[in-house]
Amino acid sequence: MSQADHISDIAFSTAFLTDKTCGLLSGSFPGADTTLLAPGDFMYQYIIPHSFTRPVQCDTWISTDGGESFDGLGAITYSDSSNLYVNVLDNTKDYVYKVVCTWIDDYDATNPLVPIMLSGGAGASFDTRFNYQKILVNDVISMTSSSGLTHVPYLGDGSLHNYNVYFESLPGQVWPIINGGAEDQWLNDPVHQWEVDLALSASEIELIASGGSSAADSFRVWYKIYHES
Amino acid sequence: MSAQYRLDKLQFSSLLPNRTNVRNSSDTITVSGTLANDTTQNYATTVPLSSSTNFIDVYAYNDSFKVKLVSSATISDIFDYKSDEFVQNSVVMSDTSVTVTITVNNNTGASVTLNSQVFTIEAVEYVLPL
Repeated sequence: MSQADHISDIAFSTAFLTDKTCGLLSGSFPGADTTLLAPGDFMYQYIIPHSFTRPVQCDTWISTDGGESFDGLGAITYSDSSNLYVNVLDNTKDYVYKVVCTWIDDYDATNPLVPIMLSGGAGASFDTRFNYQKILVNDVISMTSSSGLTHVPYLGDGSLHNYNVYFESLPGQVWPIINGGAEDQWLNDPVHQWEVDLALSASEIELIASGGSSAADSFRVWYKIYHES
Repeated sequence: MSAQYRLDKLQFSSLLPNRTNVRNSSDTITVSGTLANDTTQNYATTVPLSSSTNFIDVYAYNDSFKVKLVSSATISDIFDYKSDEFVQNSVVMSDTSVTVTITVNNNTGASVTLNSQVFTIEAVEYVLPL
């Protein structure tokens, strides 16, 4: 029997890769502090500088009622080597945000120094008694807008695993999944920006790329598939 | 001066606030019925969250595919369309629950009997020092 069996019963083991949460941001900003990206665009942008010197992957929840409830679809955050860009669709509201930043291994060869993130106000950073989301497989692939339907197989346990996918929608910028072409309200540079659509089955990720300035140019897509629980 | 260290290729670091997975909770949404032209129907479920949860990932899946519900990825990606009905969804988290609503709009010019389908909504609950 493989020592890797019954992984879901293991709260924690250093044998399994976990997400590296390098930034936790929560705060607020008034819509008046945002900037419309371009005339005719839908996205208003709030910029938060970071010190990582390269992009990180961002998950975002946004509130417009003072933090009583959070909308999982109401904002999108991408990053470059200097900033996080929190994008919303209305500059008349006041926003409360939660952004979780995850490190991207091998984004480039720099391997920069980053601050140690001790959670002083919230107790221990880590406790082996707790369960941590364990990564089954993660990798990066290169795509072009002419890649068409791309199948990325993975060897799971036959169930529909949870996952996270993010990509370079523009050079030097890491975005969550965006898709929709001219009707995509989160697309602020339709001439140059790539989009990726995806669905995950029990054995593969199906990715479809579109957009981009040139079919010859390529961009990177990172994916992580998690062990169940 | 605060301490710094490097992250590339680390398997794990106890100096990071790792995503503490409290639990995974789920419920289903069944989409079915007939929509007259120019009408809208909502289908929703509310999944209770643990009191300690302060961050979640929300997924929707059917028998074949799963999608993580983020700003530009929605249930429409795995919806079994009967015609040209328009599908969108919302995801709203409170302190105690997350509510996912699927909205189907029929503006096709004729009545549509939707393909009956079931979606499981899964909330992966975390505790993070936010």
